Amino acid sequence: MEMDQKLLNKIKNEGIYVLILLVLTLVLFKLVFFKESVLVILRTVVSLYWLFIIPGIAMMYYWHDKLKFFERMIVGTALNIGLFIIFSYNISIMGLHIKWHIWVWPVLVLLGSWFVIKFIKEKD
Amino acid sequence: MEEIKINLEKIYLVVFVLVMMWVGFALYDNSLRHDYPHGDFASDAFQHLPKTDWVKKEGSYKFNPFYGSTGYHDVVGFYPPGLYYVSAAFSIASGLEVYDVIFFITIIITIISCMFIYVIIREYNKNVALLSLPLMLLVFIDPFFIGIRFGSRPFFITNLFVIGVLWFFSKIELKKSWIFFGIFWGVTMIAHGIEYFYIVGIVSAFVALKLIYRRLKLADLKNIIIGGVIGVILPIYYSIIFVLLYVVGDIQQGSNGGTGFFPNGFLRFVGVGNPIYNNVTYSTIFQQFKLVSIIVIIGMIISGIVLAKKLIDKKGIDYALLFGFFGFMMGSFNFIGFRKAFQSRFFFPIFLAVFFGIAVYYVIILVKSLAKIKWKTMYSIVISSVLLLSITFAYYDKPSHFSAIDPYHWEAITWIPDNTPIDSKVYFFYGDIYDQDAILRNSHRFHFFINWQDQEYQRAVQNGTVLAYYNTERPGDSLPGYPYRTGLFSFGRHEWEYNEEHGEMSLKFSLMDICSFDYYVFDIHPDVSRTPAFIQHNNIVRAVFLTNGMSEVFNNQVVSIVKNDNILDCSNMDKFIEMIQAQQAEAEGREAGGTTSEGEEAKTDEAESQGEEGSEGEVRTEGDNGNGSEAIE
Repeated sequence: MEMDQKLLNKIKNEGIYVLILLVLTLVLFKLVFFKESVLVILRTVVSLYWLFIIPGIAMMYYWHDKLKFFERMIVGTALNIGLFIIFSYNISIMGLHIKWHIWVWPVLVLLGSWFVIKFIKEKD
Repeated sequence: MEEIKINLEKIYLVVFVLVMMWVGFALYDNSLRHDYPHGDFASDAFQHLPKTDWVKKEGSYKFNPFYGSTGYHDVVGFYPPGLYYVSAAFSIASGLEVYDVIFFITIIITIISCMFIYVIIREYNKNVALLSLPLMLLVFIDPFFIGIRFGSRPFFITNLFVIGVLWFFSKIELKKSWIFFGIFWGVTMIAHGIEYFYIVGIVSAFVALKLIYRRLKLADLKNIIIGGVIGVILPIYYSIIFVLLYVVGDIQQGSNGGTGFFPNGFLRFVGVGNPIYNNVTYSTIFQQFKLVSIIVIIGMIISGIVLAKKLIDKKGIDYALLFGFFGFMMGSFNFIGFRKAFQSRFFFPIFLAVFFGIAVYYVIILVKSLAKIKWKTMYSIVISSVLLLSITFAYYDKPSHFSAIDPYHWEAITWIPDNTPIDSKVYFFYGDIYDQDAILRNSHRFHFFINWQDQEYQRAVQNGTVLAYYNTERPGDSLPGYPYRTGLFSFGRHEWEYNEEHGEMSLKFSLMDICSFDYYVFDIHPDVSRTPAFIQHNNIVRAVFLTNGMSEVFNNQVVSIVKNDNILDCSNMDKFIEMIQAQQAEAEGREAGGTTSEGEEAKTDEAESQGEEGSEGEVRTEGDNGNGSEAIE
């Protein structure tokens, strides 16, 4: 099924919001950690977004028509951190070293979210 | 006009986050990277570092690090590991050291929790939400900040998920909302454990309320049940560990107290007498924040009346107000035996923020109706900003120091993992900060610590003698007794079994041959210690070792690390002391005669490297009191 054009536009617009938020976060971090180098701050902020915020926003798209962006971002970040802990703990016990989780997890979530909104949400 | 209001709100939220970060990260001295841990002020704070390092290096928390398990390699990973996984992953991604990440992650997640509560309150009333924000700042101010500074960090990150469960109640009618409940509830087990049980109580209260309101739908029940099943399955592997070790273990330990996570069968008002928890008794909080507390209490009364009125009129539930009471409840569970409930009060500025907001809001309503003015969101933002600034100026103080540890001790402790074989046994002689014994686990080695409270040791310090055997502590994460798996649902306990065989406390404290270790760590600078006599004793022992075949491998003028190259026979310690005294006498004789000897050169070199005048090699004889009597108070 084709993804709804409205949803695609929404994702595009919210993608811009996320970029703006990322830049804003960089500015906030530089204000607070003004003794720190820009590169370190950049890597820290990008890591925050890559690991916690962007996957969180993505996994909340199933409810995009019921919840506003800000709420989805906050709830999604919390949900993503929680699910990451559960996933990371269990998968590490099974043998996958945590150094791989920082790549596997966000990619899994982004792919999974795409799958859900493309096939399951449309059906619902 | 509507658009401007929204932008102002968002701008204010950005300012609020900036203020929270500024205050929360004050201990970071405006840097992300440091030479030593910042923000850690007690053993509990330091204990998280080596476990997170372990997860980062080994890849999982299947086993507790052997250096936190007093040498045992098969102790199961028993401590709720949520914080370790988040921090280890973030450390890998960001490139920051683990000791810089743990505090950082805790602050960031706490700020996210503030935003989460804001979202919930905003659903109730935007003005109340804006007016609630200033109180949340207090979470980064003592006594509430003690929770983070002293190490209750798993508790702080778990509250993000507790708030998630509360949010789920307000959104239970969303399609597939059971996902939220299942994940938020399930993760609390891995993040801290105890809140998993609190939530059972909260869910029960929620269901009961809905029944009273006659608003409990089948769909709600379905979401709770499906979410509940998921919440049980997701953390099942760790749940088995936690329940058997902490819950069942506590019951087995009975009045011995166990881990303290779970009631031991009768009402306990414990916490009084515990210096950390004393800071968050209701009377202390009230005394320290009298005006703020009065506003919160007024808000609780107003909220209670509003909720009760709606109950009577059957007009629905104001979840934001209800959650405030849930938060207050969690901080009061000690009265039904949950010893750790006092910890929940560290989070009161966030849980109870709605009461602060609603009290101020009702004053505004009064003024509005008297003055007959049309209220705008902007006015709430202005009032909130004024309150935020007032609270900041009233209660925030720039910190005077950033950590319980100094860069010299940290340098010494972290030298060990990079420069010693992994199976080394490391002995720590007295140092002021080593009482926070989790610091020693950052050596990443099987370590021991002198029992400086032992009377024999204190006598030796007073008399200037060196003993062949010292009463020694084996520090470690000993709360559940060093458990190891004997089956999927069964554990042995190394400590309990050892003590049963050898006597109570015998694993933790025993007499040990002082010459049987691979490395020795000595605090050597008396000026940086509260007990110079103990440091003097350190220097005596160090001199004996160095003179008899051991070599110094590290020295930063505050800490010296000596390697036991040759295993000495310590049964003739008196002989060593005589030897040193003879060498000293010879050296003094030569000095008087104007020539130097090898021994004197060594002593001078040592003194120079310490930066003080030759006290390190001095051997104190019996009867020479000096500082000894001061130290042994």
